[in-house]
Amino acid sequence: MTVGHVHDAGSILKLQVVDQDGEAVSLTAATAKEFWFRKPGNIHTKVDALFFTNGADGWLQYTFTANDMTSPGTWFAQAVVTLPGSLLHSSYYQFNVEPNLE
Amino acid sequence: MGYSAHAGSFNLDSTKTAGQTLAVTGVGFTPKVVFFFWGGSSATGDSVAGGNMQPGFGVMTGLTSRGMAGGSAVDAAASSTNRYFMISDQPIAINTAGTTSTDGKYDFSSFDADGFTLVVDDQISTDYRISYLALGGTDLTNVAVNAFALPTSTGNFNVTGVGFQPDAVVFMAAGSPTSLPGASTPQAMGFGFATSSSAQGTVSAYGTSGQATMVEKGYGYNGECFTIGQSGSTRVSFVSFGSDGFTLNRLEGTTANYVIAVSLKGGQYLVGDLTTRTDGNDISETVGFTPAGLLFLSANRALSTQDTVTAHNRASIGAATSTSNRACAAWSSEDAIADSETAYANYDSACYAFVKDDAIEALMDIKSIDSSGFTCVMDDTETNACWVTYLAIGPTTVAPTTISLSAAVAGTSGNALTLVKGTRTIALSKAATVSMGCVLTVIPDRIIALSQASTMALGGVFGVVVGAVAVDLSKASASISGLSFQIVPGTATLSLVNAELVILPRALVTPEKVTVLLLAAVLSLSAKSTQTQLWWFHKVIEDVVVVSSAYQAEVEVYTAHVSEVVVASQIEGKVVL
Repeated sequence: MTVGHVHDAGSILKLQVVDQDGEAVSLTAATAKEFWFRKPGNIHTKVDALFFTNGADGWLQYTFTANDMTSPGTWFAQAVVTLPGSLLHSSYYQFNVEPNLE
Repeated sequence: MGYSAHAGSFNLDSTKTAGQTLAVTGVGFTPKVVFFFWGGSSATGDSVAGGNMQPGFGVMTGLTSRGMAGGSAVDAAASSTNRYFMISDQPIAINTAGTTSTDGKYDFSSFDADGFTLVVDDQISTDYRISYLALGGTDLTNVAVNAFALPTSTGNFNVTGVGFQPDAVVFMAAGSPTSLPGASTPQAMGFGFATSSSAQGTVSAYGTSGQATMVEKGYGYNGECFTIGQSGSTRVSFVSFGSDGFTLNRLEGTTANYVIAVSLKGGQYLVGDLTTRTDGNDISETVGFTPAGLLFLSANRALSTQDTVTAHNRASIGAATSTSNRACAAWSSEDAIADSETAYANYDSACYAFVKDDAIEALMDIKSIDSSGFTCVMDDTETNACWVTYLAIGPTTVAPTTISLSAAVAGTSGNALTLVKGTRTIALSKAATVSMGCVLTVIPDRIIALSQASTMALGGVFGVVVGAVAVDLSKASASISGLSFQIVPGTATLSLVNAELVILPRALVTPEKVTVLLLAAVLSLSAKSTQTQLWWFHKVIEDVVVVSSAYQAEVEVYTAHVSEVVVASQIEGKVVL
């Protein structure tokens, strides 16, 4: 499982949105694209995601700031994409945020 | 594309019959004109040998504009057997030694994206080595080959029908034909070029036929553009260019010799001369521009006294376009001996050769192509220094080389300064502020000095594209967030000793290494994911350098004043809609 670290700034979350067959879903027509997070303690937050390229390959990304990954533990991310006439929610992606040694 | 030039060598193919083609590749561009020269060698690389010499100089710019001037001399003959051979139907024809016929002819077939194709008109018997200088590019706007007869009296005369006003003209002729094709005795060849009345040079060499004691002479002079024949029987100087050709001055001679003239327009040209050396010291020449190509001619002797030929029928024709792309052909026929003694050479590793006694007497090579000229060095030093005339060929450049904005107080929003060619220095040394929206784009070979600029404001974009780049912001007191340096790509040194924030796009760090010198800066290395989107990441901690794990191996960071290097992580996966 991929990991980040508490208060990492510059670390990147990069998710590819695929269909049931594993094929990339084109997001070029998306009018909004977000990552929703569930932090430890069932705390929810969301951020605007960006295309990694132009959306045609389904890849979205977000660059964490120092104030994003504030708590260690298991995190879940979900891509939420607004396409013309539909609002689509992806499955969850799980990753760990580890504490720092200080 | 500028001016493109490529010097190289290839061998004719004796297995190819009339109508078959021979493609020469590796030129790197589509030529507009190709000069050919040869000495009679059939080796595939550097070679010198005694034997019948069969030199020539040819040119082609298309199916209806080509020609050559050459000849031959038989080796070890009790009575000299020398011939000239000149045609305007093919760029390459090898004169069968001692005859008025050819051993074979190759003609123009096509100019190709990476070279040119020749077609066999007459099958050759030997795989002769041919060297060439190919020229092309957008700067070379016009080329023309014209064959004309000299007037039968001395004085100025016009050569017209070129179709444009040339910037340079190259001459070639053999013997004294009054029509083309022409072939007979003696073996007389003359070449030259001119870019103005004060920049011209000529080389000629001849050998008289039917002599029990050889009469073999040569001539090289920098005040004439074309000479040929015994005792300088035809000497011509350059006067001026005109809208449809050029004006020459026949200084001597009354024979209506045919001459092939190759006119070039577009780019920069300069005829100069140099003296070879008896030591290994550099031979540095200044022409005022960066040569794309060089054409060399020499009679393998010191500069002649005007109208005075001297002993031995010798010459060298060479070309160079880089330190690895050059070639030359040379020949020698000894004067005042009982039996003829002829030799020839073709070298891929030199731009000048001196053949004597069936061996190499001297070789000169290109050491460097410089911003305002070139440097040669002797691979084999001379016993006595020789005079060489050259035609330097280069791209069109725009002046000035230095643009000074030293009095500028502020480059205001929307200002754009774009330099697209040549070696440039952009000096903003006293600019107090480079303001939001300023765009500075430099292509290529440039130095951007902003050493005393106090502020680089939000939104300033410096785009530097292609080539070795030095960006010096060492004394800038503040580079405000949002300033973007785009350097794509090139071997770059970015000195940002006091800069606060620098964003380097992904293209900068691949594949070249970038050396970044930091004192108290935060360095952000970004990746350019699309043409329109830059994504980047950094860690805003003083004296910390954050390098993407994806780029870490590509970037060499000197961290003498950096307390920590942190590698950012990347979390990556797939989700299903």
